[in-house]
Amino acid sequence: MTRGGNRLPTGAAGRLVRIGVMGAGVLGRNALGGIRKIGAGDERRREIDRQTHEANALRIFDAMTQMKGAFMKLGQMLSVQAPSLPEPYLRRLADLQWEAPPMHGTLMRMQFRNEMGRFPEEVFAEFEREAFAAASLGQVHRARLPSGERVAVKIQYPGIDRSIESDFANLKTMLSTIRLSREQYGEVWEAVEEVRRHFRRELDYGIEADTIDEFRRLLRDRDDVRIPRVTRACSARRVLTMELLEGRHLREYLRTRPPASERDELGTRLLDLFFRQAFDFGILHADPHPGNYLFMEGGRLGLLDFGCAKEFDRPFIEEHKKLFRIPIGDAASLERHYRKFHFYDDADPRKDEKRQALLDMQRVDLAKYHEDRAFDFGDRTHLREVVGGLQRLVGLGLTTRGFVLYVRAKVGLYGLLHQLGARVNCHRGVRKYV
Amino acid sequence: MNMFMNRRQTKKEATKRKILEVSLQLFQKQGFGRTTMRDVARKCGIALGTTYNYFPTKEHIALYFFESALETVMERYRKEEPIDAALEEKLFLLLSLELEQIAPYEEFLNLIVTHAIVPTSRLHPWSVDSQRLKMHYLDFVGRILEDAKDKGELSTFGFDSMILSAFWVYHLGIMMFWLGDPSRKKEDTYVLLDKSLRFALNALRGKSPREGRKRR
Repeated sequence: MTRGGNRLPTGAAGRLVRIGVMGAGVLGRNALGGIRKIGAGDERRREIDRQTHEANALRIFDAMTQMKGAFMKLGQMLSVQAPSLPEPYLRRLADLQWEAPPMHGTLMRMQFRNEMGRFPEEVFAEFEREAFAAASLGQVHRARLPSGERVAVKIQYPGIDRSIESDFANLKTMLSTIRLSREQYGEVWEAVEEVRRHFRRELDYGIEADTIDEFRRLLRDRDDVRIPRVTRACSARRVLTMELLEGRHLREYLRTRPPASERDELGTRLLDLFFRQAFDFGILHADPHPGNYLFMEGGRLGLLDFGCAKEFDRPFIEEHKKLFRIPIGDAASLERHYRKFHFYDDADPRKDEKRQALLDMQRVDLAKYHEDRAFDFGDRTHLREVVGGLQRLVGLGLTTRGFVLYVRAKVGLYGLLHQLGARVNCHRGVRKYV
Repeated sequence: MNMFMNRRQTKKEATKRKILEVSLQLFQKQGFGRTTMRDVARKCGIALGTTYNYFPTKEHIALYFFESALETVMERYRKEEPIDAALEEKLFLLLSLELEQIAPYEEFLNLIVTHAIVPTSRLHPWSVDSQRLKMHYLDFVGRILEDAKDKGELSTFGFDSMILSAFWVYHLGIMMFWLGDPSRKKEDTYVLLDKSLRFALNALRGKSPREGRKRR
């Protein structure tokens, strides 16, 4: 997607103009679709609907890309949280990635001083003017504390909080132009509110500092996992100073051609860490995305970016654990399990199809947790089958929000293990948590 | 202050500054319109005639405020200029130094704006009296621009004077926005400054505003 764009309409007015233009387009297309459907057969009607949605999704996408702000991530998150949005919207929305524009040294120093009362060079013994990484909503600079400790200083782009709030206000206008059923509207609205809450959290680096401390406490028994320590004295709402972890990102790590045994070992720990977080803590430090892990000396894993820790739906997780104990192919038990989620009932005309889809998914995803041997995540077919199976479930409406959030995270983990080319004994990995 | 000034000049300069400071207090306290030269003279303890020798009108006092503010800004800019930075950052620095310089006088500036809007006012941005200030400022900006051109950062296609005139209006616009900016620490002004400079300069360079950036 776009990278560090600059042509940003500032303020609510500019954004609203864009939404207005886009909304008009969406309305126009909906109307046009309606006219074209008159006299068309069922099949043709569906096709027109699909085309209309596709065109609208494109328009919304284009407007969002130009607007940036909250919409970028919002798009991504809506695609997770509002699975009943028409599929073309979802597909388009899922492509969105949001980034704050880069700050040059002068603006960065000013923002730092506004937060901390002093310029960075007055606070730190050393401070690199050039950012070494882009973070969500800001950028990260290397620095050294007067004590000598090397730190990473995350600084938020100014005014982004209000610009995001104004995006959310505008979203109301936009949503009213998409043709949605009352249920869909409710669901989307609820999802928007959830994303909004999420953003408010992410914008406050104080909350991120608390999350880091919490994870340091939860994982204090793990010497092989490193979580950066926060320097509270040099942190505020929009500035976060934490220990600089030295290590490699996945791609750099793989370039060192690590032996299979080492990759398997790391994969095993990544899987263990995932299920411990998901099943024991009910919270994931971040999306299992390569950028959120650091491969450090001595085989240690560094965890990065606690700004958007994912909290799972507890009741869902408790139920989901039971799924791991159902034998593969045991259709009756599986059906009993899924009945609890009201995925379908006897009156459902597509119940056979749904039952089969769930059974297939069980085989594709869960079989490896039943076999006490190493599973090769490097196998491309596996990842494709899991994603395909997931799409089929979503297509059949066999989803709940808790489910989608969890499964996306798990697919993220599989993607990571796939890139790592790790062979992992999943059975042993998950046994102690279910 | 210039080190070659003689004692008499220094004393004159000091009196000018004193009149300015006293006037600013009076303007902020009783309003620009309601303050007379007589009030200024009385408060300074200087004869009215002498005061007129320095400033024929109170508008001249206000213009002097801007001139001396500009001097300070240019001096600071020369010290703090990030030599290797892109033009965006340099102009950002210049404008943010201006804002920092006038920040303590916000109240006075709000009063002056209503006067400066009147086309016959000496304070009007296109008045004959304010031309000297304008030329002085644009000369300075022009040199920053020249420097960027020398480095091959951008081409002005021979439209230098037009670009500079536009910059004068832009800079006034930023000041106006800043005056009415209700955001925390007026950060919206800085966001506008940042984004508008990027936008305008990229347009001048004929570049897409989307430039690559590293991601961790």
